Amino acid sequence: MVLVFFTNLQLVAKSEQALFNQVSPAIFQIKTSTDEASSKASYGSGFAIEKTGLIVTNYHVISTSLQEEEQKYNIYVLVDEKPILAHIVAVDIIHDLALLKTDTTFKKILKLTKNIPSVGETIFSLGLPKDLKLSLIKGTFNGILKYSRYEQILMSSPINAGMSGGPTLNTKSEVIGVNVSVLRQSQNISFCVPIRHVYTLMDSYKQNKFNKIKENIHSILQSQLFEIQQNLMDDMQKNKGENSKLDNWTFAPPSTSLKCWSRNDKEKNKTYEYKQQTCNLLANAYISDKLSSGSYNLNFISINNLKRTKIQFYNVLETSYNSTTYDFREESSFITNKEVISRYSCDNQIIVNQAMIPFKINFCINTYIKYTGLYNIMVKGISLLKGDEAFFFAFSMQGFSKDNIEKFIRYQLDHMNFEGKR
Amino acid sequence: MITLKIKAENSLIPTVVSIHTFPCRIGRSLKNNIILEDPSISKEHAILNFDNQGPYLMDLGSTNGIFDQDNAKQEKIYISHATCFRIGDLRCEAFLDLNDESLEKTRFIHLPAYNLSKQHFRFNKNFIIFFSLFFLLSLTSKYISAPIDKKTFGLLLLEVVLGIGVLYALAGLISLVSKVHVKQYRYNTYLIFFLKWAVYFSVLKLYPFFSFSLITNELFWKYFNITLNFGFIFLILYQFFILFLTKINQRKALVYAFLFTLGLASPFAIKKYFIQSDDDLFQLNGILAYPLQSFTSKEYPSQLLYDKLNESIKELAELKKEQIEEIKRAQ
Repeated sequence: MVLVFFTNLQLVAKSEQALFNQVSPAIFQIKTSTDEASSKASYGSGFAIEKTGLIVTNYHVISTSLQEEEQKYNIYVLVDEKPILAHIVAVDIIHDLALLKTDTTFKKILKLTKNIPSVGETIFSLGLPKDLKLSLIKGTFNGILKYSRYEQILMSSPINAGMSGGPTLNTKSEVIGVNVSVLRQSQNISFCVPIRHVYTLMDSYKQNKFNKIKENIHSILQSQLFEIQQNLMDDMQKNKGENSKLDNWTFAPPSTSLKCWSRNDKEKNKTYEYKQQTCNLLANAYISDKLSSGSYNLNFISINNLKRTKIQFYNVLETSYNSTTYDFREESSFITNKEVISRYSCDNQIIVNQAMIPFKINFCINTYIKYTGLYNIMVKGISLLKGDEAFFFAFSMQGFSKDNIEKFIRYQLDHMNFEGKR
Repeated sequence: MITLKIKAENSLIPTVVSIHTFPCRIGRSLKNNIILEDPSISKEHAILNFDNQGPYLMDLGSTNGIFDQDNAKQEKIYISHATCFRIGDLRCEAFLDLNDESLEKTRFIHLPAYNLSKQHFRFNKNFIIFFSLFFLLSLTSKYISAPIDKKTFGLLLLEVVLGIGVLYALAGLISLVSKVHVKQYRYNTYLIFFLKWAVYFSVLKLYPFFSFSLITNELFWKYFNITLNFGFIFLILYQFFILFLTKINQRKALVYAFLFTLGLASPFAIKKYFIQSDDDLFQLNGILAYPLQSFTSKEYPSQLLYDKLNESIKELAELKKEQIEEIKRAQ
């Protein structure tokens, strides 16, 4: 038994070595810098998929080269430690993918496969972590996650910065995905994009959908952003989840693409009761280091008065309403960089919805400087029917059109109801 | 009516003057009501007037001053029947005709009667009652926050601060208009007079912030605020018109009037550039100042929200334009 186990291990080790030697000539470091000699502004990995010079990498690796700044950044592919100039030919910000084209031809390319491995199968991620040396990291395939249009392969392998854009291979040394990111504040949980999105990107490139990409980059990105929000809107109404009740308050069930958490708090002396449901989309579209878009989240809170007087209860409501942030995922989700995002325009209004429930609603809205017709909005609203049972909500949406914002708020507001005695 | 017997040192027969209208100015210049041609008398020497303690004689910053019965130099002498006093080198004796009805009918002008060399701000009874009531009310609701949001609070604070600035200009204007006091003296007196009232009104204006009070009606606080404003304006105008009787230094008056209008306009400018910063807009306070139950779907259909949303989006287009220009300028 021991012997068999030992030989088995040796076999695996051998095959890993072979795999590494087999694929390493097709994996390169990609950097953006002002010229060949100067130090890099960003770096990552990429791999050749066609001998004519086509390379796949992550959009976020090369996004600095698309920014309109005083310094123009070029993209270089390091082949045998020599920088070769590359051009962007196609981008997909939804899945964080980019196609690069170089004038050289590659001797070795990687084979892509549409076959999805079974859960638990060994996979290998390759790339140049932290600007060091090409490394192979062994991991396990854990299945595909789907948040609306955003689709990712979940794997357990310790990917590091710099490996973004590198390939993830199955044991037959075929590419099943492109490394994207690591789940922060966790160990060895990382994501890669399924390879079928590379196929669709290549198809649209070959159909000349990305003509003059450098000049039209903003309109291309904008159309992709529009696509995302439309998908999110459809998803919201199609894939309805379950939890849509807090105490006596009901609301529109959040989409199954969202991840929801709930929290129940009671004070020590129990003067009031606090219940919260927070839902957010775990993925969003990366546009540049200052801007991300195409995401939304929902937050519903109900507070019940147990022992407080009316005015004391008002005080609790007001403080918790004011301290409720719009976005729970990250502090920097709503960037206030004035070169990227406009100032806020805010207002408030009292309305009574279909179910005859009055709400006081506050909202703040802003827009992107470079993309037209897309807005970020934060909406908060509160209702207090009997004086003892309060309900409030906070939504934030990134990169939605005017019509869809209205549709979204209408949908949410019309579904809010109170089931108890009024 | 007050009768003054005035006698120079080297003369034997006193001059007798009856005074019917107040305030009565005494001095060497022709502008005065009583003109005393004596080298020891200044051009604007003293004034004879009433306050709530009775008739008094007040020095207007003269060279030689006024002296009481004990020959001590005084700023202000209260006159009772048969009081003796000295104006410069002239000896006087005042006689009050207490049965005279015309005295009551005399126009009573509320001149601020603060004396700068003495403590000018007295903690009188009214003041103490006012403040104790205020703090008592505040204590009743120590833990409760205000029904008005932070933005409005900031604006109100600004209003108060600017109000004081505007008052300063007004005080200057009034000091030029009124010929009752010495110029320098007048200026400070009026300033203090208005500052005192500014404090009263500011405290009243800020009252709803410190104590929630059981009145949660926004309209009430709105009218409360407006009433206060009008009260204050009335007070200023009252002082202003009463004193707008004598000549005015035109050029200086124009400068003060300009400052005054500037002060009135500046809240709008400051509101635009300081109050509406991005950070402030994140804090949306003052949500629950009124009962939501009383609203009906007829008055507040949800369409109102979408209309406001569209307005904001229109506003954003302009904001974006401005911002793009700013970015271009910065480059």
